[in-house]
Amino acid sequence: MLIEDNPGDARLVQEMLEEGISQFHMVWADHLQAGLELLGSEEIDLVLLDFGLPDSQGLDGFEKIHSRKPNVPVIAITGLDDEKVSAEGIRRGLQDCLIKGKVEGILLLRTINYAIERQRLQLELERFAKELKDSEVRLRNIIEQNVDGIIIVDQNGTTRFVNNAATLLFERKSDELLGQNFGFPITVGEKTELEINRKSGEPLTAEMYVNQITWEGESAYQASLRDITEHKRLAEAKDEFISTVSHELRTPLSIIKEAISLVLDGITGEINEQQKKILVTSKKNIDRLARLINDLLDMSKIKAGRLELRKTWVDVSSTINKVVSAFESTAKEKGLELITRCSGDGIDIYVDEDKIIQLLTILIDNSIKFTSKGSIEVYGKEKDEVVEFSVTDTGIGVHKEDLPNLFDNFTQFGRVDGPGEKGTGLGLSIAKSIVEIQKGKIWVESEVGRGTKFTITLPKLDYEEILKQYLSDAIKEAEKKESFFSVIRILVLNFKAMVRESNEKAKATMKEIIELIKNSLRNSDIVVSNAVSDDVGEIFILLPETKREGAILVLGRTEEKVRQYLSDQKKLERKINFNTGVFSFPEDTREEREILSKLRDTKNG
Amino acid sequence: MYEIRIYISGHTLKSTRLVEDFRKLLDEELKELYSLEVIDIIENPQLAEESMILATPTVEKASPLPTRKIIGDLSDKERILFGLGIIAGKEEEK
Repeated sequence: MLIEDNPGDARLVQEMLEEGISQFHMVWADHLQAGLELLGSEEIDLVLLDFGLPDSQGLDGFEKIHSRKPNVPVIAITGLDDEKVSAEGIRRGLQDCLIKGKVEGILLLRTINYAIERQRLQLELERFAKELKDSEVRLRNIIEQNVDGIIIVDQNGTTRFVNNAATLLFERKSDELLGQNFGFPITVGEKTELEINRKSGEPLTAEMYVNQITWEGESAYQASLRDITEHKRLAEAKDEFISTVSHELRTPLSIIKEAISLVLDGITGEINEQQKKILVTSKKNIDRLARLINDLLDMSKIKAGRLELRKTWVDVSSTINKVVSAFESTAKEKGLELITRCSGDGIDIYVDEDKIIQLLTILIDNSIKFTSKGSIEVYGKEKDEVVEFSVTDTGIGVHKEDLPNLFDNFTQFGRVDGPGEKGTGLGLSIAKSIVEIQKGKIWVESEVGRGTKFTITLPKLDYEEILKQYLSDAIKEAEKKESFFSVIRILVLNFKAMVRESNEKAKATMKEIIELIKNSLRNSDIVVSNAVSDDVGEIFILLPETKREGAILVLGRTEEKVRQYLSDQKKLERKINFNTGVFSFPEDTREEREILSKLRDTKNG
Repeated sequence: MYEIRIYISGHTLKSTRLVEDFRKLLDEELKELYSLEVIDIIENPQLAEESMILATPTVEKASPLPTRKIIGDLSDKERILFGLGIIAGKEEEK
């Protein structure tokens, strides 16, 4: 559109525009008001504006057009060579200025083309900028509205950004937090607990998780803070509740049981059959209540992840025998046969023996309960990577549809026995947890009327793992008691050669040596060795509460005994040589890793 | 001589242990070249406000300047010493 009051000039421009292969179509307005009307009604791509109109002078006309259609490029045609006005116009968004009388066809066309293209690019740029800003706003909103407090600190620990939740957490405004030295976060990628210093002084515990990020082009840290005060309070309340249950309920219960036993045994005077019957039932139910309390305590400990394992080197076959023998009288009463079958002379595994006893007790107890005739068979076998054991009965079995729920809490099936033998329904659930906490597996096979078989596999831990476990346990224990311990290492130098000659004999000899060492130690001392399973003859002796000089004495005594034993064994073809090392905690080192590496370093033949 | 302050919230089993461990670390790394001041921000809230302690555990190296602060679990020796500006870090490698 051309806005030009002089019809002659207008015709001139029209001719220039419509000359040749020009792609433009021009509409003409002879004063500004008419131009503004056309601007509203027509599709205008560009305005050529005369700065000397009857109803408008200079930039005033441009402003009116620009405020109505900011996206339509405007080129001014000025009568004078007024640099000042045109510069100001371009600053305000005018695309170009042409001087009246100096306009030629080609120049005009080019100017118009450039103006349109420039306007298009400008719009695109603005659109991009807006999109970018929108997406930044969106991201900020996500961070801003996050329920976790988020703080971004730079490499110096200075706060560069805080979200709303963080200000609430600290009870401080964002400008009180920004630019402050929050501190350089030590742990990245793991959770750490912080006590927040709130303005009100009210305690608040937060869990902080730090990520390394880039912030405004620099390496920075993003710390997420989650309020865990309530969570901690609840956990503490729960712990307290559990210990209350254990102490407040168990103590009176055992007193009641004791009292009933006294009456029942006739110590307080004769009782008749009727009275006896009632007391027997009472006692049975007290036992059941005690079991229920113990089961609940176990369950809550497991659920809270507080079930602590005290792992030791255990011969599972002897554990099985121990548990089975405890059930002998019960089985006999019911006329059931109890069979134990264990492969080999011993199944050594690194587990918590008490937990294994509990596990087997639950399973055997269960089997006896649900079996009225036949047998219960307990089976133990060492496999390549696991130790497998099973409890098989010839009892009533479990319905197929009930099998998947068998290990759930409080599920009981096909209860047929009297009330006195009722369990809590927690047994199998506890059994499953015990197995899983030791990284094992438990499963059940059953057929109604034929019997049930529970199978458990427990992984055999790698020797190195066990050794590390023992060491870290010993360090923890010593630190707790502010105590000390020592480690002795005995390396059989020519063990490999011994194995090559006769694997059986080498292992048997080592086993005997280990037994010998064990017998000369205190009960609390621990012997770990891989001589029975590997081709390196290494024996570790862990001596709790023993200082270096004590350990050296023990070593001297042990060495003497072993040499004595070996010289008595005429059958050995090869002379066995040892290297020994002693290390003490915390005298020599506090670091777990150092103990092992230094011990092995000392005299590694 | 490093002047170091450790800020804790109350004398609990956990905070006592933390201070002990940290002292051990300083003994190992700085021998006698440091002084450690333990500040309980519950007892001394004004000190915490002055040093703008936002949470505990925080460790501050007050001298030599510039002041440096580290926050959180004091388990990673390298990062503690780097964060306090006692050793030059290998941060970029991480």
